[in-house]
Amino acid sequence: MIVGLIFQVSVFSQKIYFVHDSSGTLSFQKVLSKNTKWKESYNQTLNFGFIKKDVIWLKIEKSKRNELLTIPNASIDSITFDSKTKKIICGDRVYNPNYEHPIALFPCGDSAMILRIKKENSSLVIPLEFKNANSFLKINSQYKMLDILLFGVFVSFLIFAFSLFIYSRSAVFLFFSFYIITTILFYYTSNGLLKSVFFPQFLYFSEIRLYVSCIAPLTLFWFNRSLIQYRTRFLDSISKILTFSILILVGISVLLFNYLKDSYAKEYISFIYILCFVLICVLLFLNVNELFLPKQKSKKRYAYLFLGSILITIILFVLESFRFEWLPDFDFLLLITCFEVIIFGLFISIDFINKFKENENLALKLVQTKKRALNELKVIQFKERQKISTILHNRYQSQLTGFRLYFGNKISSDEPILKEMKRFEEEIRDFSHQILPKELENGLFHDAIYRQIKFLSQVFTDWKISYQAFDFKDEIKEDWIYDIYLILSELIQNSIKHSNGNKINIEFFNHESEYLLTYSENGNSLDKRAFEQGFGISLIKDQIENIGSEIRFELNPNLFIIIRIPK
Amino acid sequence: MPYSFVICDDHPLINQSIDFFFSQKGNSCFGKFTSNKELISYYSNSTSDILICDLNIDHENTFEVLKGLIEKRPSLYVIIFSAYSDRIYIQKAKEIGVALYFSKTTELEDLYSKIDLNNREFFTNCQFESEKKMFISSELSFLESDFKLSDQEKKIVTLILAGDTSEEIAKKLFISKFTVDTHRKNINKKLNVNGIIQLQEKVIKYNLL
Repeated sequence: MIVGLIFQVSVFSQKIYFVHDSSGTLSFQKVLSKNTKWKESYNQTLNFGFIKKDVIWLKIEKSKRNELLTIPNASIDSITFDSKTKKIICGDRVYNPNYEHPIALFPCGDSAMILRIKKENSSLVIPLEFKNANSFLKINSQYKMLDILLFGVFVSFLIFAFSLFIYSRSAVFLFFSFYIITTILFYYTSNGLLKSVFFPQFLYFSEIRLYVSCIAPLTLFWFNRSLIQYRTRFLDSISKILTFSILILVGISVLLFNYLKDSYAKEYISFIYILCFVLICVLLFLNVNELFLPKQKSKKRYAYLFLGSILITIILFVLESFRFEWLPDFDFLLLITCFEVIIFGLFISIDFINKFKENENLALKLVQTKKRALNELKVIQFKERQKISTILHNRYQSQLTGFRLYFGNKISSDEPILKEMKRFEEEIRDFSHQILPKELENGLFHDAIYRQIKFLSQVFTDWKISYQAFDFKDEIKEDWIYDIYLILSELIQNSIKHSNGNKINIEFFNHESEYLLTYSENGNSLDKRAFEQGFGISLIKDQIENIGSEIRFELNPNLFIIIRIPK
Repeated sequence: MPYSFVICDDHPLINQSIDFFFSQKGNSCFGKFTSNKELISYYSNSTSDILICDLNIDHENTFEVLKGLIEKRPSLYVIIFSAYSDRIYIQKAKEIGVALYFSKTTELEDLYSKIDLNNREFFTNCQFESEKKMFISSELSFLESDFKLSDQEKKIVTLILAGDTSEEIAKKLFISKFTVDTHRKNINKKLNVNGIIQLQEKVIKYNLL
């Protein structure tokens, strides 16, 4: 219930204030202009605000017990309360979401109290209300809870945005983080929570909100700029210059504010403040201008969102300023600021999640393609080997046998040419077996390995190769025997080609949960990296991983390889 | 005693050479075929004492054909003369009742000397891998077999018996813990032991280090 209103009337270019008391519960003796000095002893220097000029003096005679006089006006900068026994300076707005300035009235003893109200904006009407102290505190604590809840939402968005920035290195998320931080500052300096909770020692902390209110749209602009991305370099450089100048202006005004506390220089500060806002409006116009160009769909969505948020902010700012009676007693401007952050955050998250899904699908496809390629390579390799082996075996070896038998009938069997032909025949046979042993078709893995080793031992006589298998049956009916056979062949050939040793020991264990194949040799001239990089080892690794197995190399001091095949 | 024989090989030169060799010895050739089909059609109405046959004629498996022929005519003396000397083929040949299995790298003289129509016991000149080493750990005889612990495994056994953990062994031998664990697993498998006490017993009993 509003009990009184302080009006301002200009008569002959002089400002006069008067109080309209509708209910008659208050009696205001006088409304004075700022030049009136009520008490000489009063320390005015303590009581500085943004615009020092408009000061109203009020005298209240009596009031009920347990009541608070509240002055719900955002543009009041400070209130000084004075009675005979107590003097209280509400130099800074206490925590209050509705900008109410609660003043406890003291009915005991004092019959009259004096209020000194200092305003930021002289053109506004100031309402005066009496409120029950208990209900006021109750509502206040509810608002406090809401603010803390919103703070949690803000912080989680901030963490999310920053993690996205670290993950994707995209500037959008960084600017979004800045935007969230400045919105938090703006929100919580505006309703006084930041000051009352974190900085109770600073008397005039809430003045910071003036500068935060400049920087918050600036970060919003940069966030949108990184989303929209200007078409031309010219616009881009203009936006940079404007941003830089706004930051400089804000810095200058902060300095002026600190060093010229109680002087008329503050009018220049307000001028700078207005200039900043004009520049920000230019920046916003740049963004809006880009909006009407044919752009990508997603960018357009952000641009409209941005434009909508700016428009809503302006409308609410106007509504706030006039404080219409029919407006609910609620701070829409601050609340809409929160929702902007949340909506932007949601859109960005959705976009990111979509992109992430796309990337995941791509990665999955890549893995599948690689797997398919490896399998195909395997099949091709297998088929090629089979073909070559068959041709060598069936055609050339048999052809040679035919020749030998034919000549054997014509000439003496002791002729060295026949022996040579036989040796050649055997070599071709062994070679064809080495390329792809027939045994593998029947799962005779060990036989195939023995044959391979036998052949290599005959060719490379200075190498001693041994193979031992533990707890295996004759046959191994698994798909990987081809891979492991080829890999082992590759490894043995690598050792023979590149190592200075002379012994290879291969052991194959059939453990309960896995097969373990160990390959060791006594050479030590190999460089591990060279070994892993070259000689088809990377391909071997891929093949091993493709069949769900694992390979490990150890070079201390001799080469030792473990291949683990899960069952 | 002269034999009547049939040759089936997809290489005409081989057919010709075998025919020449056998005919020199006074035997008579009843037919030379280069495919399984010809062979089957021949045996549907006439016969011979001996069939000399290659495997995988025209990339087909000849075993089924041979099996059918032998079942139909158990008196047929079948000789496989093949370039393959795989254990699995030889086993199969033995199962279906082939008399001789000769590798193509052998001399015809050796083959001829082995032919004995009265003795159908299976014979092959193909050498199996005599050096094959397949161990079943529970049946392993440490003194007789040529199975051995490798040098690295011996080092690890020594360190295990000294009471070192896998990490300590890995540090001492400059290898990874994974490798040590693999070695330990394999040693346990090789010696068929579980735990240090059993390991110690076996090492002392068979003087493995």
